[in-house]
Amino acid sequence: MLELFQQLFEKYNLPKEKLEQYVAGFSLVLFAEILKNANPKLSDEDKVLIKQYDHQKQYEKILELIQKKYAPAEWSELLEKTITPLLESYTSEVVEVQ
Amino acid sequence: MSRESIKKFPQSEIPQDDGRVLESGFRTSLQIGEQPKKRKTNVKTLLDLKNPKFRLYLETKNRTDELAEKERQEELERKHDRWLYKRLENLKETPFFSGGSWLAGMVYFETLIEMFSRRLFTDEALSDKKIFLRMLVFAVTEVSAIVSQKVYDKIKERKVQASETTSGESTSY
Repeated sequence: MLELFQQLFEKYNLPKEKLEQYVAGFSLVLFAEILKNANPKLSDEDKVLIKQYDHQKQYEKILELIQKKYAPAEWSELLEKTITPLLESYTSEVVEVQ
Repeated sequence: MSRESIKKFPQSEIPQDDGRVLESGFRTSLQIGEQPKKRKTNVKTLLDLKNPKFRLYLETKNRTDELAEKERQEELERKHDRWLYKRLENLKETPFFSGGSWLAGMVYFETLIEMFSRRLFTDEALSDKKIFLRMLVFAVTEVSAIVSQKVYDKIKERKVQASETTSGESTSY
């Protein structure tokens, strides 16, 4: 993701910390959107597990758990469906695509 | 003026050189047959760092460039913050993230709330959440980097096509 943001902000000459801050902001929203879209597929047990992982700061486990609920093609579709509007609005509202 | 009139021009009325030298390097007037003297401009002297005028020019230019870059970066930060706030505000409005959501009590959720209460994602707000953010970014990146790049390439391609179409239309017009 950092590489992508480096491409986006190529002409701004930003320090790495600033880029990381932008990636963090974007990731917060993306994570929320993934959770929201996956919500109907999550059982009560899943939700308890997700909360546990969250307290242990094991976010990769949360995403693994969610991913397992989808067939590979469906998972790619979900990601694309989630990321596309975010990147579209980001590239039109924050940084123009060159 | 014809050749004849030049010949007949009275000698007394020919402007005389008063000795002044203009900025351009030419004198105020020339004697007949006299070639204008060109001022020698030494480019090396002009672009010499020891030349105070050139140094001043460079310093001013650098300062202006720095200020312009700083302004562009600040404007970018404002846009990023606005985007983030708008997106999270939209999320907050959905039932999924409302108070009764199962997400309540999650570090992630609490961080969002805290950031909302401080309105922006300032360094101060983020300082105690850095570990949380690092882990979250790592996980999200692992999962989404390839797809994000693919999506971005598509957006870029579409923009290029759109701009080509627009420029084609304006040319044909």
